Amino acid sequence: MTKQRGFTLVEMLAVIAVGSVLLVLATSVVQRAMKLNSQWRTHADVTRALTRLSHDLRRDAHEANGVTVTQEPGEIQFSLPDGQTVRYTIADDEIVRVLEIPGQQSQREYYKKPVEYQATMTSLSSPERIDLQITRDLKTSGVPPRTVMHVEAQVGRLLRLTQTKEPTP
Amino acid sequence: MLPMRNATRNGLMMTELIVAATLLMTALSLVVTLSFRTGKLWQESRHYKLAVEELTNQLERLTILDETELDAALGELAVSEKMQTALPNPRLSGTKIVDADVTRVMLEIEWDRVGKSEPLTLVGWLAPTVEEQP
Repeated sequence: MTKQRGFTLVEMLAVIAVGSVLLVLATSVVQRAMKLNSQWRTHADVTRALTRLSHDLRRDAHEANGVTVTQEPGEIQFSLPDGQTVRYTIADDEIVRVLEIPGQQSQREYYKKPVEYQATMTSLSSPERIDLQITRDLKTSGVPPRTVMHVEAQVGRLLRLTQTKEPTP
Repeated sequence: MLPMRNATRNGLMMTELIVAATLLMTALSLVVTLSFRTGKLWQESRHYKLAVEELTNQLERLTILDETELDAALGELAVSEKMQTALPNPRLSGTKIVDADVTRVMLEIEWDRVGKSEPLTLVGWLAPTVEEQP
């Protein structure tokens, strides 16, 4: 009986085929894990930014004594006491808040959002309110955009409360 | 009989194959379950956030009304149009609670969730009118 040394061509081909399949499977699993990790990070960042936006928008609306909404480009401008103004502008990948204080440099704050998130601002009446809705287009036919955030803030709420607390003459 | 040293092995034992297959299947089922669970968790947290926003929006509107207007508003209380499509089967209810000197509004929202969950509750105090000021 002759002792076999090395591998036959068929064995080599079989090993290469199995190895290739395993490599492809492992690569796709790693890629999927990396994609999932990236999605998690984006989701967390967007959630944080939107929570901050919701909080700031409510506070500005409550403190404001007037509001102007422009649809093109999407913009809300609040007039605050002491001549200050706050402007929220919707861009493709962010919403910008600009605080203008007379005699001082304006302060900017950015709320990042993915491009597929659509923001719409509208003004509502009785009582005067600001409506900010952010939806996500899932890009699937027949599926409507998914609501991600919906804030309805009352304009001048704090001002009204302060006025009621002032003693009547 | 003593075991042979340097014996060549051709192929694998059935036990080894079964163990490998079991490990592979367990790992796969874990990954699939985790993926589904992650998706569900995302959806639940999104629904919860939207429900809190809905209650906040409704309370902002209700807490500036006077007591008479509040009764009427509570009678007509309904989930906003946007939330009706965003949350699965949402139900909103409101109660006026009159304490010794203040009036509160308690809003509760429920929607279809997996498992038994308590409704989400938010309470707001009515803004005092000028006459109520000391």
